[in-house]
Amino acid sequence: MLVLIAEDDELILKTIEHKLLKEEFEVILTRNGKEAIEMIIQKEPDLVITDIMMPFASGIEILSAVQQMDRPPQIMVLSSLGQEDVVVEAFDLGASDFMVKPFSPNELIIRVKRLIRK
Amino acid sequence: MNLLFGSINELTLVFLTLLIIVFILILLVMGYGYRNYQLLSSRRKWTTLIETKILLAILNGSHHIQDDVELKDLLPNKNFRDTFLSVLIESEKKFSGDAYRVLIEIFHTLNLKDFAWAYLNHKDSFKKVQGIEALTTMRVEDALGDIQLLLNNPNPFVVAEAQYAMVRFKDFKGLEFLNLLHTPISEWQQLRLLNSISEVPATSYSFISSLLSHSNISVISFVLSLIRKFRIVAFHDEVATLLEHPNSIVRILAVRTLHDIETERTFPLFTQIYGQQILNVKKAILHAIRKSKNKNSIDFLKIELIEGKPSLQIIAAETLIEFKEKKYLQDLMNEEVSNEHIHSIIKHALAVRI
Repeated sequence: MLVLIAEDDELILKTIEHKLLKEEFEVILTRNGKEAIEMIIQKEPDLVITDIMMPFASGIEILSAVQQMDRPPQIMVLSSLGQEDVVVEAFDLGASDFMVKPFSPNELIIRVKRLIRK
Repeated sequence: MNLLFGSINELTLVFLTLLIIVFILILLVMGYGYRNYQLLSSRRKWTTLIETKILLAILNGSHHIQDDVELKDLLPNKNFRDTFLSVLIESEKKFSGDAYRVLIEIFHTLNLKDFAWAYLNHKDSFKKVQGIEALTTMRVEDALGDIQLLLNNPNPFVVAEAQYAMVRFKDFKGLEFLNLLHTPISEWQQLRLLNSISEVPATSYSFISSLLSHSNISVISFVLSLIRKFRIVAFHDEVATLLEHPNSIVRILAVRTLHDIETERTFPLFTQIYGQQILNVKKAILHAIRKSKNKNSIDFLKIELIEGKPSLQIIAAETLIEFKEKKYLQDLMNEEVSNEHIHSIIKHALAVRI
């Protein structure tokens, strides 16, 4: 299973990466929205975990771009407190799940597994 | 001639002295800049190192961190400890659950608690704020008493951080400081406090009630936000009494709150006090009616469309369109051929809504 993580915070990015590797997922790391969109189109991951606020292209822009694909991947959105409106917009655009920061990395893995099973 | 040479010598001496002073100043500024640059670059390097250590602790547990040679070497450095504390505080905004517990373990294992205490007792207000933030983030309950004393600090930033700490430690009960608060709470601070409150116990209703008659307007504003957030309908009638408050901002916030905790009594109440209100309160009432989609208000809106001030007429017309009264408006346009003003307002509303 291939998971793409789009996150500009290095500590969060690396924590999720290592947690996923431990669970034997294949992982692609991207640090900005534009790079994420390119990689999603190129590598066609099964799941994308994306932060809402990112340089060059936001999580919402990633969601819009992904919906143009023939087989769009599942998207899990990471948001911060107070971004409820954006989360609603993300769901309208096809997001499958969301987590609010601060988040528990262990809970994220449980949710990733559940999404993949679907 | 000697006099002339004497003056030239003196002038040269003065010039040279000035030159030396300027040179020394340039050296000092350069030295200070270089030191800051070095500190900044060290902090960047340390941040990466600390984040790596935190990552490893989250993944494998914090038990190895005490014996970490790199950290042992660096921890005696005050600037490194300061950076470590900042990274830990930042990390708390990222992680919860087990990962958050690991952050607290690191804080205690590396004795950063003493460092944070020292900040709390520092005479510099900025350091005090950092100390409060660190001790609160890392849940050092022993610090609560000392932080509480800072609620009366002359520095407003220290006070704001102490207030926030109270709520983070004690949830709703941490709001007791509001009783005696005479300085305004900023909107940002209100938002921070509001976000940190997870529940309002039913036993606290008399406390909330007393705050609604507080002399500090920002406290009333905050309490109304709290009622809105938790949709505490039990306060409907008490909030309604604020529609007669001498401050129009309170009256506007009361209208918004009543809209959020609406009952069958709300709309009749609005129409009852509408006539005595200033323009902005009237606007707030019309917006509340619009959002509540209360069809009982159609006749009221029709009157307001004819008799209200232009800005109110526009809201009334737009609301009537939203309430599917487009036909009424079109008929009115045909009937009221003489009233160009209403004509243009309806036209405007139709154009906006279509």
